[in-house]
Amino acid sequence: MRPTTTLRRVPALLDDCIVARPLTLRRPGSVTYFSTTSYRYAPPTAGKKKGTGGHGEGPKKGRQTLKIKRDMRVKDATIGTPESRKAFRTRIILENTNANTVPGLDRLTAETAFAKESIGKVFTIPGNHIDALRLMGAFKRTQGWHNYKGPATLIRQETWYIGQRMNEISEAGLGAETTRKVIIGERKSGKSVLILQALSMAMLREWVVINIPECRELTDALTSDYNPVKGTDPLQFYQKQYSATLLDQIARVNRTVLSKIKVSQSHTLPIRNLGQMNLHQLAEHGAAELDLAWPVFQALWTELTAKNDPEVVEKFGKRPPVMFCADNISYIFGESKYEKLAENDKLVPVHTFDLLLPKHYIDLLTGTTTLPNGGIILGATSSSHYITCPPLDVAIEMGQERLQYPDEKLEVNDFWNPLVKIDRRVLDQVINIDVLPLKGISKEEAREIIGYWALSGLVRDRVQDNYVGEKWTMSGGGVIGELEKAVVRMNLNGGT
Amino acid sequence: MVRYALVHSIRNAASLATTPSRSISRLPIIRPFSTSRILALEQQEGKQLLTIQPPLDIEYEDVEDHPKPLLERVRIVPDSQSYFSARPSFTDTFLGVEHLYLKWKVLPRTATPQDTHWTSYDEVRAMTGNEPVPEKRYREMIRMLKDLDNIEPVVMPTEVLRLIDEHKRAFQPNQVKPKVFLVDEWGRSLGVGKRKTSTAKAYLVMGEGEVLVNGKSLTEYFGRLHDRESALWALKITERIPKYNIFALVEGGGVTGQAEALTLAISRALLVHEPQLEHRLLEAGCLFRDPRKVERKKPGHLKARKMPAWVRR
Amino acid sequence: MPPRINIISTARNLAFRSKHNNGRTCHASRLPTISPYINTRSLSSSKDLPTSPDQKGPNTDPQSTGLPSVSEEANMTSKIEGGKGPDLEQGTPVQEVVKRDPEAQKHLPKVMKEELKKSENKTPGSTRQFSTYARQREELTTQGPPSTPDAIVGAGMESLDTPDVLSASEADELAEFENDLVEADASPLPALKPDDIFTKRYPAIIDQLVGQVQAHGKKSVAQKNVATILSILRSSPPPKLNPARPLLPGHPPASFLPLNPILYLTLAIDSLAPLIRLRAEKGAAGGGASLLIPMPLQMRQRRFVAMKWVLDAARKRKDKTFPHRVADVIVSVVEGKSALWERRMNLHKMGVASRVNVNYFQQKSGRKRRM
Repeated sequence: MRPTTTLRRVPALLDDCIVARPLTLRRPGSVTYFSTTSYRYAPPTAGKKKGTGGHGEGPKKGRQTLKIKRDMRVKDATIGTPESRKAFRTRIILENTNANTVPGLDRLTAETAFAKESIGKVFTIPGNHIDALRLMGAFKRTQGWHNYKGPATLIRQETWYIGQRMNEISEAGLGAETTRKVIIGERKSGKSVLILQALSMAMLREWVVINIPECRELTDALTSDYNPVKGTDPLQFYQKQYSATLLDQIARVNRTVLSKIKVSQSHTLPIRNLGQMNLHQLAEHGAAELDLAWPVFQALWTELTAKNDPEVVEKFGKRPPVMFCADNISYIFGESKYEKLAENDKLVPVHTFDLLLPKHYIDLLTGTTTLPNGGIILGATSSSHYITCPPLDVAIEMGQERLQYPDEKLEVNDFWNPLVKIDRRVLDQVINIDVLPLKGISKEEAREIIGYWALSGLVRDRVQDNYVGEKWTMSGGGVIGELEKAVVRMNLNGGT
Repeated sequence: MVRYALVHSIRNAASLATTPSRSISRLPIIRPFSTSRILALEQQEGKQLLTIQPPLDIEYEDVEDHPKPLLERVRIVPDSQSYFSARPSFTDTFLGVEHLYLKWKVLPRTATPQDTHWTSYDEVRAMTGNEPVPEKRYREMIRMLKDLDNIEPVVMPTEVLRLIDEHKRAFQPNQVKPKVFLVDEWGRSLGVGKRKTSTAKAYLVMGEGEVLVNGKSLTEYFGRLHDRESALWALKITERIPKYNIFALVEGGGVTGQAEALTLAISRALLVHEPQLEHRLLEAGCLFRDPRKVERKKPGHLKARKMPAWVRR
Repeated sequence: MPPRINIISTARNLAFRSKHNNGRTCHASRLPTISPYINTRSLSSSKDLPTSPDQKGPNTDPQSTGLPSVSEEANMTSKIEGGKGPDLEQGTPVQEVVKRDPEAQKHLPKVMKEELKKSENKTPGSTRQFSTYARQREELTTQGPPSTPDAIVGAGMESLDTPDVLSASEADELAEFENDLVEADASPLPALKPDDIFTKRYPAIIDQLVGQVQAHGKKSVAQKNVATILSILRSSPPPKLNPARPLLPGHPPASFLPLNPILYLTLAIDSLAPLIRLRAEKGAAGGGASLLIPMPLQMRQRRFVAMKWVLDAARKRKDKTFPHRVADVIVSVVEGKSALWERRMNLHKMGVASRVNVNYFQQKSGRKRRM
């Protein structure tokens, strides 16, 4: 249930500052105090006994009473609960047992993933990565993994480019630079798969990997997961449920990396033996305790971004570079669906820059905060389920122009449609972002991937130059998702 | 007496009309009138009502030395012999055609008949002021005209040409040739296609299989694979997709209409480059202009054909 | 050549034939031949059929002629040569028997004589007079699975869907057309395939199913749903066939079905499709009671009924998504678990029960004429 009515309680909760509030008072997991749902659905308490139809009770004969008919339809056992049906709808299948195993397919390794010769070749994703990527939500339903024996991916030009940046950062060590890219491109051009590849490659290099699979979940207010921070102006909010989930994900995926690093700084956290912990234990603590989730995340971040001075490295372990990715980023540049009470007693939307977790990512992506040990921050736009964000569009357009004419000085006004309302707060932040445009793959790459599909038993035609050329054109010049549609779906389904 | 003479002369003239042409005196045309009603009235009332004076003072004596007999000199004779027939102007036309047909029968005819479109039966009737023209006569006339039209152009007499011009339709469909498109100096060929309410223009050049529709890529413009295939069908079945680049402009209608308008446009543009593919494209149905359109809504109907439900009242 | 086929079994095979007839007439020779277990599918029991005591056809007995029959001889010859001869179970046509017997040729009816003369003069053309359908099918079932993945995917459907062979004149025309191509680097175009025609690019059964799934004029949604159904079939495990519910004779083994989802779907629909419909003629049975008249169905109509049953069964349920439900129903039909088989059987039973009414309309018009 949407907590619209209960939102009026927000001012009363403003005192509920996370630092000041005694943590013991609240049970962990009691996150629904913004909602009346549980109250309304609670079983009736033993109150006044109902009359048994005696005198003075109940309606008189012949008088009409209000009768609310119950839904008498027989519930089919096969229907299942809404949750189970949603789970069925959204489940991710990574394997088709009927598909052929493709012979001679190499695994993605630290050697193959970064080699220039690998461009245009297909590699399987290592088994231990599959679980991690699944946990991070990097696999999506739209990526079409369900047709093949196991997940395998094509190393394209852009993948190699990211690998190059990773190599540079890993080699640079202290004082490494940070690469920040917003991945853009038309529908089905492989933006989220590129993020998946980047995450997988970062794991091969033993980086710390963090992924926000869907930014919409942070701002669409389908959960009441936002809590004000006292004494901030404008009022800031943190999202403890999401932070806890993210911490859990970080702890599990980066277990080996984080276990090697010890806590080096002092944090004001109500955790015992904090000084003797490694970062993995710290993250696990945050994931277990909802109220601690956000402060622990902050602490973890300070630890990860502590400078790799030689004495620190010796004592506490080396901080690896960070790969932080987010998908469908247009949702976190503007107003969220959450609401707060303004001074004139009216509900106004909370700006996404006032939500601490999104803001943390945005600051990284736009270069407001830096990574002293280097890292890569990636954000992907979406072209199928997104909200329009004029300032981001302006920035992306400028970024593209900058790529094409690096020496030219660009004026915002040239890209700004004066008839469209633009959020200055967002525009000032994103104005200098770098973009990584994804176009279609080349015909050589297309031939390779079609060959992979054919060996998987999904192509009935002979893969010849003419065939590849035809499909390449049909897919708008090698847009990979469309290419798969044109080749695989065409063959399976007689073209529909 | 006078009345008798007049009636007689009229009957005489009518009988003359069927005989072949002779010199006809140039007297003013007088409309025929009927005396039958007046004669009936006379009989009823028992007295003479109609007195007709002769137009000239006639001396009722035979002048022997005059070259023409008296009757022929004094009676009123119409301009055309067919004046007294049921369809005077058509008969004149018909006789005129027949005259030339017989006259020029000896001239050589061309081997292949001309494809001239003649005035229709209805048009001929309208031209003659709705005379009761028998269709058989009309067909006969057209047959003769067609024969005259086939005279070898070298020896074609001017009078026949004039006659044919009179009977030809102003609009000759076979004269209208579709606009011939050629490859221009940039190596482009242009094709135009329509479907539903969409129009498409496609420019084809030799290339690598790149496509732009209204400045967008194929996938950006047509989200559905079906539509993309429709648009490029002609190139697909001739295995020419990787050999040409396409620049297309489409407007009007919806996605399907635009895609299928492009099918036609691209097929036609391809034929400019490779005319020998016409047979294959025809067989595959790429050169068919689908004439179907949304049927218009009619007054009294809810949609094109749907009628409101019947209500008692 | 007299059609050596059972009418009912042929009708059942019809639906499974190549969809691309291209307007050419359908010769009996192109029809698939009888499968040994065909009678298990017909409505009457196999007990009623007369059986030959020695299980031999009229031309297969060597004692009567003193020679092995033509087919047998050919079979033996090809065996020696290492090939595979004609199918002996099919008997030998009379024409072939008399071909080398001039004495017998003299006594042939006139029609057959002329036919023989014609066939002697004719040079072998590119048109096959016989169907390779049965043999391909047999190879598919008796041999092990093809080794290459392409062959697996293509098997079954390919052999069913081979377009008609071009006649000699058409081939000439095509060659002439191909010679006309002047482009220097252009290799000659392959012949126009039936699905190259703009309006017939999808298999007929797919078009029909899309039409039936479609609602409110939303064709692309319907196409997407059908595509999902097929892709679910592609990734589903091979069905466990139920021998009590036999499918169309000559279908590929169950393990091949998921590899070719269109074949899977076609097999389910065509196996389920009823042969008749029952028309209720009001008042025809006297006293206002309606009379059930069995009417034969065309191939498309049969498929329509089967699809309607499948889609209705899927719409009744509420779990999962619509394409998943349809795919489930299709799988349960192939596995013989579906209640739709009962429905089909009941319909056929009622059809048999009311078979006296088959000629109702002819009788009615006949009565009128006599009056």
